[in-house]
Amino acid sequence: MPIQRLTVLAILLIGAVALAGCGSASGDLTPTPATVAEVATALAMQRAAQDEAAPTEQGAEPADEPTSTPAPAADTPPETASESACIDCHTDAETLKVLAVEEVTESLSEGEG
Amino acid sequence: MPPLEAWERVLVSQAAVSEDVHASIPCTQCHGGSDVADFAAAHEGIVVDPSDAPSQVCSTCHSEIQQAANGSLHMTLAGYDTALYMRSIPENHPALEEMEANHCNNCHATCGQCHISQPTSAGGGLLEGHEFVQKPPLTRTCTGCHGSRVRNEYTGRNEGYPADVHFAQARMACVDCHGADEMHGVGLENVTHRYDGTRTPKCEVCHADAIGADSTVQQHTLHGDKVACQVCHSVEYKNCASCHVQRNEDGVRFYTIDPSWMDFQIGLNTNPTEERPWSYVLVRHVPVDPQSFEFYGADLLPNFSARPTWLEATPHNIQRNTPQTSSCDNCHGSAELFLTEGDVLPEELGANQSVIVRELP
Repeated sequence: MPIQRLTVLAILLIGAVALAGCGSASGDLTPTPATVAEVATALAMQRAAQDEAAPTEQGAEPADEPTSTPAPAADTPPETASESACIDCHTDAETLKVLAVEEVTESLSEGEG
Repeated sequence: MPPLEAWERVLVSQAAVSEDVHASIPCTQCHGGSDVADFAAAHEGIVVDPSDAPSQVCSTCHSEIQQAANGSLHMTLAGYDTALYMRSIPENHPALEEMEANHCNNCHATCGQCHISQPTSAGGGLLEGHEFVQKPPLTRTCTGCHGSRVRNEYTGRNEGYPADVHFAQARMACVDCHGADEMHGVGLENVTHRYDGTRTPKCEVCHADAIGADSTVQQHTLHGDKVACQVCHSVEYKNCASCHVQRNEDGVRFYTIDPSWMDFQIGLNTNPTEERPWSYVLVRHVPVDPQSFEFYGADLLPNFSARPTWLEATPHNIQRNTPQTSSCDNCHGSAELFLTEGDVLPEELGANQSVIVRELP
């Protein structure tokens, strides 16, 4: 009965593919990466719009050309911000100790607030 | 909460810029400024708290919460207006608004002041290096504003008085009772007072078997709709009086206030509703007098008597056993527990007529 065997094998194969697909979809539908993807896409489009306004070499593709951003898998860390000067300084305690200035405010209040 | 050094307040963690879901958003997207190495140029046009502009940043992803939060008391501080305007007249509102801008509005809580940093009124500073904290911590956010009364009562900082049983035994944080919907004002519109709308939190959510018609606690079936839970299960709590605000010649804002005192007063419920049907509630003296804001104009509260100075309170010092629960006579016929004319300053008698108890139960 080769035809029956093939039919059974085909059904098993389809079932396995379907189950694998369900597992993958479940992971992709967690809200966190979806949110990340939406934000990343919106930001990429915004950056692209800004780049369009700036002059570029003819024929050269803008570096931030918006493309369909794939949703990262659930266990993938979110794409990190591209800006570095802000982060370099604000993650460096020693730099901040030098640059962060305490605002001096006179405290004249008396009693519990 | 311990004050943070200036550099600590703005120190961003590696986790915040690499692991937090918001790490995909460039800093300048929310904060403005420029991503350049020069300090002055980088901070040109910087926005310290982007969430201070309603719906500008957070609503991109959290639109429903942001929409509700925009009308919440945490955001609008409308409760201040309710109290002040009732005691005043429209002609005085501009002066009162100037006063509020100088002395009250730094308690205005933006999204960021609960989920990213300590509140401005508590000195500010990032909570977890700019990671977004889903549940604001009791010690560094909530009690930054709700400090001298709620924090001290709840955590037992009033000398000689026990901490709230929910803290002392269950180690419960604010958010364990005060959920996100309540904090964000979800389901409320035009809210003007903290007791508006559905009563939250409700003791019976956790103590369902002890409260209500089927309760096995006789005192609960006898008193359930007559007295608020705190009337029997609170102990003495803090009362304040005569907060006066002003600015010095350099424009520095400051206040003076009389010493607070611990007291316990049962008053009449001035606004019984289906949600709050009780005849008796606890009342607390609030820190206002007719001259509180005279720096901003003479006689700004001409209708001072239109609102009690002893107002319904829900002290955060709940105990299972209190002096009130020890015997019937501790409340019934016990004049010292009830707000009577003798407990009220002569100049405030007019304001408190609606809460003064005249016939002891």
